[in-house]
Amino acid sequence: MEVCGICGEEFETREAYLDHACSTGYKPSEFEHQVALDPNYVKISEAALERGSQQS
Amino acid sequence: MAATVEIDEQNGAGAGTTTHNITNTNMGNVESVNLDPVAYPVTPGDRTYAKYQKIDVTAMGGSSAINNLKVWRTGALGGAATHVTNARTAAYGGAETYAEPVKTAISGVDQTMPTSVPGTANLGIGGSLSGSITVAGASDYLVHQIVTNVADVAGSTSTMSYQYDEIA
Repeated sequence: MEVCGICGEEFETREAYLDHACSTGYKPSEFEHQVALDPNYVKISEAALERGSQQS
Repeated sequence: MAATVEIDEQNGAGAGTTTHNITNTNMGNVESVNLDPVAYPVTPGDRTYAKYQKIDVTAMGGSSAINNLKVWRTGALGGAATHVTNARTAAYGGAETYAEPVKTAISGVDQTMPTSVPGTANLGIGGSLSGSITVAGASDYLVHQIVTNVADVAGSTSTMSYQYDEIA
Protein backbone atom coordinates (compact mmCIF):
# COMPACT_ATOMS: atom_id res chain seq x y z
CA MET A 1 0.00 0.00 0.00
CA GLU A 2 1.06 3.56 -0.65
CA VAL A 3 0.25 6.45 1.66
CA CYS A 4 0.63 10.12 0.95
CA GLY A 5 2.57 11.55 3.89
CA ILE A 6 1.04 14.97 3.27
CA CYS A 7 -2.72 14.39 2.97
CA GLY A 8 -2.86 10.88 4.40
CA GLU A 9 -4.76 9.39 1.48
CA GLU A 10 -4.09 5.71 0.78
CA PHE A 11 -3.50 4.09 -2.62
CA GLU A 12 -3.13 0.60 -4.03
CA THR A 13 -0.39 1.57 -6.46
CA ARG A 14 2.45 4.05 -6.86
CA GLU A 15 0.84 5.26 -10.08
CA ALA A 16 -2.39 6.10 -8.25
CA TYR A 17 -0.39 7.99 -5.61
CA LEU A 18 1.45 9.98 -8.26
CA ASP A 19 -1.81 10.86 -9.99
CA HIS A 20 -3.75 12.16 -6.98
CA ALA A 21 -4.40 15.82 -6.33
CA CYS A 22 -2.86 16.46 -2.92
CA SER A 23 -3.78 19.07 -0.34
CA THR A 24 -1.21 21.37 -1.95
CA GLY A 25 -3.47 21.55 -4.99
CA TYR A 26 -0.91 19.69 -7.09
CA LYS A 27 0.02 16.09 -7.91
CA PRO A 28 3.15 14.64 -6.25
CA SER A 29 4.74 14.43 -9.69
CA GLU A 30 4.38 18.17 -10.24
CA PHE A 31 7.29 20.42 -9.35
CA GLU A 32 4.93 22.93 -7.77
CA HIS A 33 3.90 20.30 -5.22
CA GLN A 34 7.36 20.22 -3.66
CA VAL A 35 7.66 24.00 -3.84
CA ALA A 36 4.37 24.33 -1.97
CA LEU A 37 5.70 22.01 0.73
CA ASP A 38 9.13 23.62 0.98
CA PRO A 39 9.81 27.11 -0.37
CA ASN A 40 13.53 26.19 -0.37
CA TYR A 41 12.88 23.44 -2.91
CA VAL A 42 13.70 25.75 -5.84
CA LYS A 43 17.14 26.42 -4.36
CA ILE A 44 17.62 22.72 -3.59
CA SER A 45 16.77 21.91 -7.19
CA GLU A 46 19.07 24.60 -8.58
CA ALA A 47 21.95 23.33 -6.44
CA ALA A 48 21.36 19.77 -7.67
CA LEU A 49 21.44 20.98 -11.28
CA GLU A 50 24.62 22.95 -10.63
CA ARG A 51 26.34 19.87 -9.16
CA GLY A 52 25.10 17.86 -12.13
CA SER A 53 26.51 20.35 -14.60
CA GLN A 54 29.94 19.95 -13.03
CA GLN A 55 29.95 16.21 -13.74
CA SER A 56 30.38 16.63 -17.49
CA MET B 1 11.45 22.73 -14.94
CA ALA B 2 13.46 20.26 -12.90
CA ALA B 3 13.00 16.88 -11.30
CA THR B 4 10.57 16.35 -8.45
CA VAL B 5 12.17 14.45 -5.59
CA GLU B 6 10.82 13.25 -2.26
CA ILE B 7 11.89 10.98 0.60
CA ASP B 8 9.83 7.85 1.26
CA GLU B 9 9.79 5.38 4.13
CA GLN B 10 8.71 1.75 4.22
CA ASN B 11 7.13 0.20 7.31
CA GLY B 12 5.31 -2.93 8.35
CA ALA B 13 5.37 -6.64 7.69
CA GLY B 14 5.66 -8.34 4.32
CA ALA B 15 5.97 -5.91 1.46
CA GLY B 16 5.17 -3.12 3.91
CA THR B 17 3.52 0.23 3.39
CA THR B 18 5.27 3.08 1.60
CA THR B 19 4.73 6.51 3.09
CA HIS B 20 5.64 9.13 0.52
CA ASN B 21 7.14 12.52 1.28
CA ILE B 22 7.89 11.90 4.95
CA THR B 23 8.12 14.96 7.15
CA ASN B 24 10.73 13.68 9.61
CA THR B 25 12.97 10.73 10.34
CA ASN B 26 12.41 10.53 14.09
CA MET B 27 13.78 7.32 15.54
CA GLY B 28 12.57 5.50 18.64
CA ASN B 29 11.15 2.41 20.23
CA VAL B 30 8.29 1.82 17.80
CA GLU B 31 8.15 0.63 14.20
CA SER B 32 6.38 3.57 12.62
CA VAL B 33 6.83 6.47 10.25
CA ASN B 34 6.90 10.03 11.65
CA LEU B 35 7.00 8.63 15.20
CA ASP B 36 6.97 10.60 18.42
CA PRO B 37 10.30 9.81 20.11
CA VAL B 38 9.12 11.24 23.42
CA ALA B 39 6.22 8.80 23.47
CA TYR B 40 8.49 5.91 22.43
CA PRO B 41 11.88 6.38 24.10
CA VAL B 42 14.60 3.82 23.60
CA THR B 43 15.73 1.83 26.62
CA PRO B 44 19.41 2.71 27.21
CA GLY B 45 21.56 0.05 25.60
CA ASP B 46 18.94 -0.81 22.97
CA ARG B 47 18.74 0.16 19.33
CA THR B 48 16.00 2.17 17.70
CA TYR B 49 13.85 0.44 15.12
CA ALA B 50 15.60 0.68 11.77
CA LYS B 51 14.46 3.12 9.11
CA TYR B 52 14.10 1.95 5.49
CA GLN B 53 13.98 5.03 3.30
CA LYS B 54 14.41 5.91 -0.36
CA ILE B 55 15.12 8.99 -2.41
CA ASP B 56 12.18 8.90 -4.83
CA VAL B 57 12.11 10.80 -8.11
CA THR B 58 8.42 11.25 -8.88
CA ALA B 59 9.06 13.09 -12.15
CA MET B 60 12.20 13.78 -14.18
CA GLY B 61 10.93 17.23 -15.16
CA GLY B 62 12.88 17.18 -18.41
CA SER B 63 16.18 16.26 -16.81
CA SER B 64 18.09 13.26 -18.09
CA ALA B 65 19.45 11.72 -14.89
CA ILE B 66 19.62 11.83 -11.10
CA ASN B 67 22.72 10.35 -9.52
CA ASN B 68 25.55 10.77 -6.98
CA LEU B 69 23.33 10.18 -3.95
CA LYS B 70 24.79 11.23 -0.61
CA VAL B 71 23.30 10.98 2.87
CA TRP B 72 24.69 12.22 6.16
CA ARG B 73 23.70 13.48 9.60
CA THR B 74 24.75 16.72 11.30
CA GLY B 75 24.44 17.26 15.03
CA ALA B 76 25.68 15.18 17.92
CA LEU B 77 23.87 12.17 19.28
CA GLY B 78 23.06 11.85 22.95
CA GLY B 79 25.60 10.23 25.25
CA ALA B 80 27.69 7.52 23.61
CA ALA B 81 25.10 6.55 21.00
CA THR B 82 26.17 5.70 17.47
CA HIS B 83 24.32 5.87 14.17
CA VAL B 84 24.77 2.95 11.78
CA THR B 85 23.74 2.57 8.16
CA ASN B 86 24.18 0.55 5.00
CA ALA B 87 25.30 3.74 3.19
CA ARG B 88 28.99 3.69 2.38
CA THR B 89 31.34 5.15 -0.21
CA ALA B 90 33.36 1.95 -0.71
CA ALA B 91 32.57 -1.77 -0.62
CA TYR B 92 28.90 -0.93 -1.10
CA GLY B 93 26.86 -4.02 -0.36
CA GLY B 94 24.33 -3.53 -3.14
CA ALA B 95 20.65 -2.76 -2.80
CA GLU B 96 19.33 -3.70 0.63
CA THR B 97 16.19 -5.84 0.55
CA TYR B 98 13.23 -4.56 2.54
CA ALA B 99 12.33 -6.48 5.68
CA GLU B 100 10.02 -5.48 8.51
CA PRO B 101 12.13 -3.02 10.54
CA VAL B 102 13.63 -4.42 13.73
CA LYS B 103 15.48 -2.96 16.70
CA THR B 104 18.27 -5.50 16.51
CA ALA B 105 21.44 -5.47 14.43
CA ILE B 106 20.90 -5.88 10.68
CA SER B 107 23.49 -7.51 8.44
CA GLY B 108 25.26 -4.90 6.34
CA VAL B 109 23.92 -1.99 8.40
CA ASP B 110 27.16 -1.40 10.24
CA GLN B 111 28.75 1.68 8.70
CA THR B 112 28.93 4.84 10.82
CA MET B 113 26.64 7.49 9.37
CA PRO B 114 28.80 10.34 8.01
CA THR B 115 28.58 13.62 9.92
CA SER B 116 29.47 15.76 6.91
CA VAL B 117 28.79 15.48 3.21
CA PRO B 118 30.66 12.44 1.83
CA GLY B 119 33.21 13.03 -0.91
CA THR B 120 31.50 10.52 -3.18
CA ALA B 121 28.16 8.78 -3.41
CA ASN B 122 27.27 6.54 -0.47
CA LEU B 123 23.78 5.39 -1.46
CA GLY B 124 23.25 3.36 -4.58
CA ILE B 125 20.79 3.24 -7.44
CA GLY B 126 20.03 -0.20 -8.82
CA GLY B 127 22.56 -1.65 -6.43
CA SER B 128 25.45 0.51 -7.61
CA LEU B 129 26.98 3.73 -6.31
CA SER B 130 27.50 4.78 -9.93
CA GLY B 131 23.89 4.11 -10.90
CA SER B 132 21.51 6.72 -12.27
CA ILE B 133 17.76 7.27 -12.23
CA THR B 134 16.71 8.14 -15.78
CA VAL B 135 12.96 7.60 -15.49
CA ALA B 136 10.82 8.28 -12.43
CA GLY B 137 11.81 5.80 -9.75
CA ALA B 138 13.67 5.38 -6.49
CA SER B 139 17.10 4.76 -5.02
CA ASP B 140 18.20 1.71 -3.10
CA TYR B 141 16.97 1.56 0.48
CA LEU B 142 18.84 3.69 2.95
CA VAL B 143 18.73 1.63 6.15
CA HIS B 144 19.80 3.24 9.40
CA GLN B 145 19.30 3.01 13.13
CA ILE B 146 20.64 4.52 16.35
CA VAL B 147 22.57 2.29 18.74
CA THR B 148 22.36 3.64 22.27
CA ASN B 149 24.69 2.99 25.18
CA VAL B 150 23.48 1.66 28.50
CA ALA B 151 24.77 4.84 30.17
CA ASP B 152 22.84 7.17 27.87
CA VAL B 153 20.18 9.18 29.67
CA ALA B 154 18.70 11.44 27.00
CA GLY B 155 17.93 11.58 23.32
CA SER B 156 19.09 14.23 20.91
CA THR B 157 18.06 16.23 17.89
CA SER B 158 20.07 16.19 14.69
CA THR B 159 19.50 16.68 10.98
CA MET B 160 19.57 14.13 8.19
CA SER B 161 20.56 15.36 4.74
CA TYR B 162 19.76 13.60 1.46
CA GLN B 163 21.56 15.00 -1.58
CA TYR B 164 21.41 14.22 -5.29
CA ASP B 165 22.91 15.60 -8.46
CA GLU B 166 20.68 16.36 -11.40
CA ILE B 167 21.77 16.23 -15.04
CA ALA B 168 19.71 18.58 -17.21
